[in-house]
Amino acid sequence: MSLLHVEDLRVHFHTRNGIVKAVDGVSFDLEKGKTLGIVGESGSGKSVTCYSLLGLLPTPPARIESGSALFDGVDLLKVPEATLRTYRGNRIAIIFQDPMTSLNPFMTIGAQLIEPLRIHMGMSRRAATDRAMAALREVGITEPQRRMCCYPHEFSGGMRQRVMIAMGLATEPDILIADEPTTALDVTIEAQILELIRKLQESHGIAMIYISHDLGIVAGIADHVLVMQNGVVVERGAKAEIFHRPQHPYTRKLIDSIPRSAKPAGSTLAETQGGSDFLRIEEVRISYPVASESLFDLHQREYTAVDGVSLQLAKGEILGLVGESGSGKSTLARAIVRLVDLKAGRIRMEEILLSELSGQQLNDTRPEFQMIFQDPYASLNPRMTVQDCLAEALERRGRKDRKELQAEILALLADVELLPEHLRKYPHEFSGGQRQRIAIARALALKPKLMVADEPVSALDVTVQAQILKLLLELNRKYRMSMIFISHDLGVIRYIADRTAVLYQGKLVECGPTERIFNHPEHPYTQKLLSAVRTSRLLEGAE
Amino acid sequence: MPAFILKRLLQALPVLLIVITASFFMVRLAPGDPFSQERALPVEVMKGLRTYYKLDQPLVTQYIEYLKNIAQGDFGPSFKYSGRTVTEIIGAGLPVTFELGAYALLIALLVGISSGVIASLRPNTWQDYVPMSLAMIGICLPSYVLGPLLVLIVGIWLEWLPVSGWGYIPGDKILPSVTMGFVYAAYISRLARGGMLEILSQDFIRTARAKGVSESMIVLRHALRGGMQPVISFMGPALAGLLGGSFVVETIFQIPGLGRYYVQAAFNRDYTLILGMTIFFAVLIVVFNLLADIVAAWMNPRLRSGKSAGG
Amino acid sequence: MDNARSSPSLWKDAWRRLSRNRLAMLGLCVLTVMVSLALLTPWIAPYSYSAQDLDLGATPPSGAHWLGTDAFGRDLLTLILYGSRVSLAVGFLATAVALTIGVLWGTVSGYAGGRTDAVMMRTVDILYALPFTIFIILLMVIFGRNMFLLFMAIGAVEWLTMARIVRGQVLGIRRQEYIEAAIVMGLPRSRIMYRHVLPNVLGVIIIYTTLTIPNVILLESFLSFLGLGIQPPQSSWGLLISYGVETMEEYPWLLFFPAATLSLTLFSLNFLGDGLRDALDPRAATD
Repeated sequence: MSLLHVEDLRVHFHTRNGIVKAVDGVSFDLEKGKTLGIVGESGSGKSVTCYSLLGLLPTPPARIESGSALFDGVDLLKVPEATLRTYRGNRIAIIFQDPMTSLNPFMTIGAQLIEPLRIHMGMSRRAATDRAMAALREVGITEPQRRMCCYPHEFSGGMRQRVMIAMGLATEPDILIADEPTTALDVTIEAQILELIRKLQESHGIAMIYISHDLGIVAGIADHVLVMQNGVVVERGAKAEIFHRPQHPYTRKLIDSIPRSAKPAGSTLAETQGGSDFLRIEEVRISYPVASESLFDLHQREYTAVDGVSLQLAKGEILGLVGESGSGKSTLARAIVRLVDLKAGRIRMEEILLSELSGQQLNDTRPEFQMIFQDPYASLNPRMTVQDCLAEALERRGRKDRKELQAEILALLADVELLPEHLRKYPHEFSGGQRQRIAIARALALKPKLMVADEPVSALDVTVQAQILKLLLELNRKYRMSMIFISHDLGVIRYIADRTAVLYQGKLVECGPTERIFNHPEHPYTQKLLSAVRTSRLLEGAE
Repeated sequence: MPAFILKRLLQALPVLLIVITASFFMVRLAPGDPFSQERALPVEVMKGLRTYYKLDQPLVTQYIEYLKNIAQGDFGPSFKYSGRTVTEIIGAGLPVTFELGAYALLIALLVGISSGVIASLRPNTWQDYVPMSLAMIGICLPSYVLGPLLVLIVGIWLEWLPVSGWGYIPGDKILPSVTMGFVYAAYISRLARGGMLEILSQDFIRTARAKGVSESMIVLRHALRGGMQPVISFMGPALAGLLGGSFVVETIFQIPGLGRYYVQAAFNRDYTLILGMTIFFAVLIVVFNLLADIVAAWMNPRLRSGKSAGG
Repeated sequence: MDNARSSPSLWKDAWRRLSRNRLAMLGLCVLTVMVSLALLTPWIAPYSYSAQDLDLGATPPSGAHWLGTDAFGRDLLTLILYGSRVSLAVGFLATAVALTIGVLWGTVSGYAGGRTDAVMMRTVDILYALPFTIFIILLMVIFGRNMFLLFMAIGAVEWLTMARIVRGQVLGIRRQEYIEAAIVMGLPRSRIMYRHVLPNVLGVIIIYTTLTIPNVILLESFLSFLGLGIQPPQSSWGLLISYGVETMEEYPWLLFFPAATLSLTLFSLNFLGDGLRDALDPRAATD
């Protein structure tokens, strides 16, 4: 007899634009002490499945059309809200994706931790406090006494996720649902959190449902895996089976999309071997004053985001820039395209001293170096059609007559694999991947010699991500464009970059040919990064 | 915290100086003076009066003299109410205006917050529409319309409540307080609803639900504090408005508060009284704004402490 | 995955959402009627503005005088119509003054950032702290009830909020990646402002314009009520209400009809503003 038995679950969203079948006939079993992984891209219905078990979906628009979820002889989908409430946070706990927004900023950590204990176990304030502190200690938070009185904003992301885990486990639940608990975290933190979850699950003997978009992580942590697409389970099986002998084409596509191999052969441009210096970044330091978070603090501090970084880039080369949050990689990128000023150092592109340009001179040179931004939803003006957007960029290089302009626009569209009928549409009518293509086309329109791409695929689903990476490689080859590619995702970097630079807290710790960095990392931090990825994901090394 | 208050107080000084200077010169440069309206006083008497009140001296001298006096808390004698100083008049009207404002504020907060919170719990149902329609009526019925209507209906037709005075007959404080509080209740209700809707859609409310917290505790313990932020930042302008609004309400209900004195003083060109009261109001407004900011900061842990423990 | 929807533009989208909002559409209709009546008053008013009938005196609504007459035997409907010309004119013109200053100030401050922004916003903060209601009363009493001064005074109060809101919006938009993309492209500042910033703050500007007009009308009628705004022989809603209050026990219709007209206008504007806010909400556009 399984602990949780879900049968033919159907959840539909009744919106103004029609019915969305978010979950359409999902069944699964969860055994005691085991982990069930659910994998899928955005919109696959993986989170909706779990939220519906706990009655956490907003109704309306959501409606549970059919199905049953038997837990402990009770159908969770049918019991009244008041009864369900005695299960939530007591027998079934859940950890959410974003630890930054999932804790109440107006309440102390302690108050939030003791709440479920007081509600479900009827503990006295003292007993609950003691229990909560024990839980904090268990998730590796030191000085729990002091931390209990802190507010969430005083904690880092990883610490907050630890608090969430402590909150979930304090009541000794039977089932823990983890909804992408590490997606918002850096890789090294991710590895720690995953390790923690695994350890606690084992010692408490809890059954877990682990939801993720990342097949690698799920394959690493789960015993059993469901692959979901558009509300339907397309494949299920033991993890090794799914990963090594995928049956369904979608599963295969998911696995193939994970960028984990080396750069495709023949995709490196010949001239990069020569190591000519196309771009030279010399001893760059960038700092800015920090607006104090507190209203009552009158001191102004300086924060050094990039500290004495030197890098070179050859013509046509792709340089990968890796680092975790706070490493200064984005700041450096923004400084190269002159969105941020340098405090010290120089940036030279061919004969031009980029870092010294200003005013009209700067504006005239700008087309030479373009940028692709992270968020394809924010990087396009919502009030401009694709046509207007591309025309504006093309005319930046001088006015053109209509016919010539139109021909160039069509050529750009072809480059990024979009269709002419897309021209009249506005950004909100496109998917994330299409928007990123538009943004790439806009940057290409200026015929830049240097392209700086700041996490261009991190907001995209893994299958779309693979397409965009392929596109960028092709464009790099076709136009012999040098590129600086920034990412926190080592797999992506390994796939696209010729050389890789690793940044840590504003400093360059290591730089060299990508394969050398991945196979023989020299700096301890690089080693730590790589081992973090290996331990949290079941990748090529898991036979 | 003390540094913050000190900084804000220092910022308030130029504001006050501008108020004092602008009102002083505006009053003095305007045509007419306090004695010109009274029927033809003999020339010598006029001259004597002017000398007595030092109106014959150069304007700048008078200005500096005035600044010196108010720095010592002396706003001078009233021109019109002979024998009474400005300070005395303000002192007499102040308790009345404050009491009126306090009742109005109490009504506004009680009615506004509860109706706004109730509306936010079931958006786009009758539970939302009824309080929000009432709030809209409150915003569209200014006090000089609402006041007379209440007087007419409740006071004159139904004869339930007295319609004028302050503390003369039991119950005469009700209508003015309601008249003044209603508009603010309407604003607060809308702000509270908006704030609560914003907070209730946050991820941490889902976390609370996932912990098995009951809906009422979610509202009271998890949402209310954050949801009230817009209301708190409205308190500064609201308090200032309650003082300004007292002009109309005190006129309609014949209440001997500051507002009525002020309008009369303005019509009478009672220089010292106008100036004194203008400055007094300005100080009050600055202080209330400061208090509202302090309360807002105190309610928000993010603003209260600047430290961020890493890890 | 392509969840693209086919809709022609954000503005049309917003209009569609607005036209589904019955209260907002009702407000729009009432306003249209109100403005047309005000514009056509000289031709459609049932009586001449100066016509008095002292023998008639105050009469309740009747066939000859739909809304009754005042103590001088003047037709109340005619007075309200002429009053609406003044009240609406003050409402629209003073708002236009506030809008122009506020939008310019806010856009420049928000876009320039840095020291310029600090100085400009400090100025607004200081002005905000001034007790304006009190100042306006002072101004009106001392310099006489002068329409020009009234505009200036009301404009001076209302632009502050507009400037703050526009600046906030511009600051938000400035941080958007599409503005950074425009900067990286090397587009001139003026073009970025005109093509990228302004179209995206327009929605908010429209919303707050709709919500500023009722504030201005309220402020004018407040002053007129205290006897400090518009003065006879000109008429405005506030003035009519203050006359109505004086005689409300004997002639309640003299209070009721002007008050109802004022409130109806304020209702319409507020509902329209609320409707616009919902319709133009960028978050609603993505649902």
